[in-house]
Amino acid sequence: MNPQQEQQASALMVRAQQGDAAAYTELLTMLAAASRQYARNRLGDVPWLDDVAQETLLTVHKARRTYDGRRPFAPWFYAILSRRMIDVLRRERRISAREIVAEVLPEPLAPAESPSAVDPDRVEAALGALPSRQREVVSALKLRDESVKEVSARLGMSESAVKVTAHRGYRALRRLLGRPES
Amino acid sequence: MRSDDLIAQLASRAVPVQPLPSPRLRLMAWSALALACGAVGVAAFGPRFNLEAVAGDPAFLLLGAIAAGVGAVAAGASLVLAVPGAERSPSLRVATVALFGVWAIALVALIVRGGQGFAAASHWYTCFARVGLIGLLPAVTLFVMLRRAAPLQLGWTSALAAIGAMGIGALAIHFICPLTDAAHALLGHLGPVLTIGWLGGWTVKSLLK
Repeated sequence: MNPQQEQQASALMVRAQQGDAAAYTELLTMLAAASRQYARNRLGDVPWLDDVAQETLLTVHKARRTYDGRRPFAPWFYAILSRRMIDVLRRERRISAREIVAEVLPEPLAPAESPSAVDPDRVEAALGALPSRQREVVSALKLRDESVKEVSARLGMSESAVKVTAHRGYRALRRLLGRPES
Repeated sequence: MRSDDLIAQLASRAVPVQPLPSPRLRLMAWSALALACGAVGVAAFGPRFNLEAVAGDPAFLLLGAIAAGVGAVAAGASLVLAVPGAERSPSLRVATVALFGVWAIALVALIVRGGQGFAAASHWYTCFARVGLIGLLPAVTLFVMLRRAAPLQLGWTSALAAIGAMGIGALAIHFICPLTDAAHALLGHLGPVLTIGWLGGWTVKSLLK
């Protein structure tokens, strides 16, 4: 925050203290950008820059009556920002120390005798019995791991049409395999 | 929630607010109330019978000044800490700890010089309870004042507030308790300031959020 921005922020805060919602919106927008920039400079491009900004805005809102318009704005604001950044950093470290990201969890295996297990040949036969457009969409999404976007681009369909076709295909497959509708 | 939504939500709550007076003014207001509470405490429990005799004693004056200093400096530090960015240097916190240290060292030196240890420390628990009682209203008032501000270092703020309020209690008990034994003063006069200050730092801080 340069001296000019600081003067502007101070003037906006004084107006916000008088109940000026437009000035307050402008101020909070400016402070959110400054918070993200400050946190990015110190922590790098971490995914929770927005958390720092939002926590800071909430504290600014709660603390706005403590700002004295005759005093510089930057020390007041950066005291809040640095404290909230430390809080978010601690919280993220705690989370990363105690939680395991979902990608490293093993895929749950269906037991061999599970009644839900189906014969791959029957699935292939049922897939072959689907209308061609449904078969193509289901195969692309489930067997070739293509995304909805890729399938819609390749088949010249809208993304919602791909989703609707896939949904109908899944229902038809369940029926063909003698499985209950979920 | 996106930041833009949060900003819109906060801006919709942009009601006029009255900026808080400076920490110095708030400290003066709190001190007036705290001293009044101390005076009420002295009147309620009765001033010590030997007040006139000890009034000119340097040790009495020094310990009274230290208790008052701890109360005022600690309360002032907590009020400064409750305003973001107002603490330019940790001098007030350092001064509180230093005064506290001088108080404790002076009492320990007097105990050592007396040569009786803690054997003569009687009825200290009565003074302990009275200090807590006299400091209760100043503590609650200071807590409310801090809640209206925005403390960021909750542990320090609440501990200093509790020490400040109990410092006033200790100052009042100085005029109530006729016992001159240093061990009694350490346990019954300084003890609650330390204990309740420490407890305050741990228990009250979550209420300041």
